[in-house]
Amino acid sequence: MKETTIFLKQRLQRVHVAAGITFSLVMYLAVFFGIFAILLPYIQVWEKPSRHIEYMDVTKIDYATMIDPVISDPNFPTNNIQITLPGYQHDPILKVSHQFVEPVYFDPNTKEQINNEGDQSQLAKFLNHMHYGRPLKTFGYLIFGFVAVGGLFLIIGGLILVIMIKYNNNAKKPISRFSKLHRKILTWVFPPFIIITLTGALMNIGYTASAPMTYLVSKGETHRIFDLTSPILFPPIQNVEKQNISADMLPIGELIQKASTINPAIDFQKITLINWKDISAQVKIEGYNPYMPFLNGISNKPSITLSAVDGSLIRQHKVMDKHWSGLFFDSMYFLHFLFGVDTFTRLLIATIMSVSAFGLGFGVLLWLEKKAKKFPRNIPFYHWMAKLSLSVIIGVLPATALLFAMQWTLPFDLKDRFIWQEGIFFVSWLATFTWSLYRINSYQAAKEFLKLAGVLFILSPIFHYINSDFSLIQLWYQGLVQIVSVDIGLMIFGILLLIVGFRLPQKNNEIQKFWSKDL
Amino acid sequence: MIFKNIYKTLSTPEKSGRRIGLFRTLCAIFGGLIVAYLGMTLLVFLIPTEASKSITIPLMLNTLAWAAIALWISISPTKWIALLRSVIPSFIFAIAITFAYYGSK
Repeated sequence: MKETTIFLKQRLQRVHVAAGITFSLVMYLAVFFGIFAILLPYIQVWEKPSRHIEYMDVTKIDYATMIDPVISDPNFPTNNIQITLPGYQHDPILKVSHQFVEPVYFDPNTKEQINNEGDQSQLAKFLNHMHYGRPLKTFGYLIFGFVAVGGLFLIIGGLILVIMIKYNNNAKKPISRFSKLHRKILTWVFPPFIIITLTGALMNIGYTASAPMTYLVSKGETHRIFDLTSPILFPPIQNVEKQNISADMLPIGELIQKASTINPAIDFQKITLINWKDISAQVKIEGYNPYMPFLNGISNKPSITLSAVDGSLIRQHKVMDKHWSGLFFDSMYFLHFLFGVDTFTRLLIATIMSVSAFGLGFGVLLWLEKKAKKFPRNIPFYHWMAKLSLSVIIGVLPATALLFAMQWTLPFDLKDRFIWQEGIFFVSWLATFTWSLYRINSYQAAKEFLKLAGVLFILSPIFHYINSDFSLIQLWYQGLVQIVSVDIGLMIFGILLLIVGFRLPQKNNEIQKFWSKDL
Repeated sequence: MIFKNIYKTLSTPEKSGRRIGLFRTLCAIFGGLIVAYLGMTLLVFLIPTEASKSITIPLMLNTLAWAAIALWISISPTKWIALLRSVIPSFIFAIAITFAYYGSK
């Protein structure tokens, strides 16, 4: 082989290893909390007592009795009132909101206003924030953004390595097992992974960094990217002249039915009331077309605008009416946001991401195993990176489990409830780091973390049952399937962690055997 | 004389590819960023619609381009080539952007 190709391969490998071990742990955290963010709609229903209500068919709801008292308040604006329909992001409530006032929440079954927990219950929100570094504000955004760029660097470099180098897949040492799993998993998951990382990098650092580019291409008009793109991506609602003649409005349920005969493909999510109670009143009903995934849902929302007086069609926006730049935008963001998609797609993406979390983990294990190889087998391997990885990768499990267990044990009227929950989460996570430093045998610590996490995950649906007074059977019979499935999901996850916790080897020779077994 | 020495140090190939070194790392990170950013800015001018529409693509691909070019620079055979790979495309793109800026309406 020529010397230059040898050097090229060495360099490719070297940059992959160096960048990989630098970015791996944060990348893992982004993926780990990202899985919870994919399941956010179900968690946010599960976590709140006010959301333990049945789903209603959006066409059968009596909107007037709920909305009229709100908007007859002279302080409530009458133009561009937003109604978020039940079922949007799996939330069973009806929300009436406006840009300038506090939103009002209703239970569509009883038509009564509900007491929204607001900041008292932020479990799903917090898990989503952990996904992109928000608890650390700008610093966190930058870190996660640079890690995403590093992720792209690693994906490209890794793919070139897999193509260029012939790896031995049959060796049965732990080191080659880790290498094989790391390569195989990430080669398989790279297409969705690269798109999700790309959009993640864009959101965390891309928009901030786009100021000079925007300034140049707009010839000095603006440096804010949204000044340029939002008229295309998020066009504002056209202003309709108010006639100041009051008129009777058609029931909103009937208008939704009309809209669904015009375009039956759309799942309606949001209604905007324009000049409500005036003769010029219009409703803009928008949603998501599940038959055209990747093309709508983010910036592109198919909509139907009807006259609220006689129900005649004023304007219609179909999926393909969007400019191609908007379609491109949506197709890239679709996999990251998954707005409006069904449970199956969410679970599929969550599974792919869990598998890639393992891929990242095996990468770290491979690096550590290479370090450990330099020492004789009878000396326990003790390396700061091993301990840090242990507490980040496995230690995050008991901390997250505690977060879930606390959700239904802390009283909902506790002052600063969320600060307690968040604080205990971070402290217990830090505790796993000290524990991993204390335990010389990392496998022993890992087993303990997994068992603890398993028990806490199994306990959280039990706490939910005790403190919400909803048993699984009751939830099922009341049609609260989302909440039942979160309970069952937590239970299964806990049991899996317990099984892994008990099955993992602890003694040195067992570890060697464990990783050499036929998988 | 100094420049000749610097050139000589930079252009001598290393004996092994197992060390990347600070010089290549810096070239890859900052050179890669500048090349990618200027290239993507040029792309806005090259896509034949208004900037408000065409900017979506470069905006999306910016970070990917950064990663790809950083990889390309970091694996150069010598330090000198790493430097060239970060400087020459930057110059070409910068000049092209200047033309596009004053040339387009």
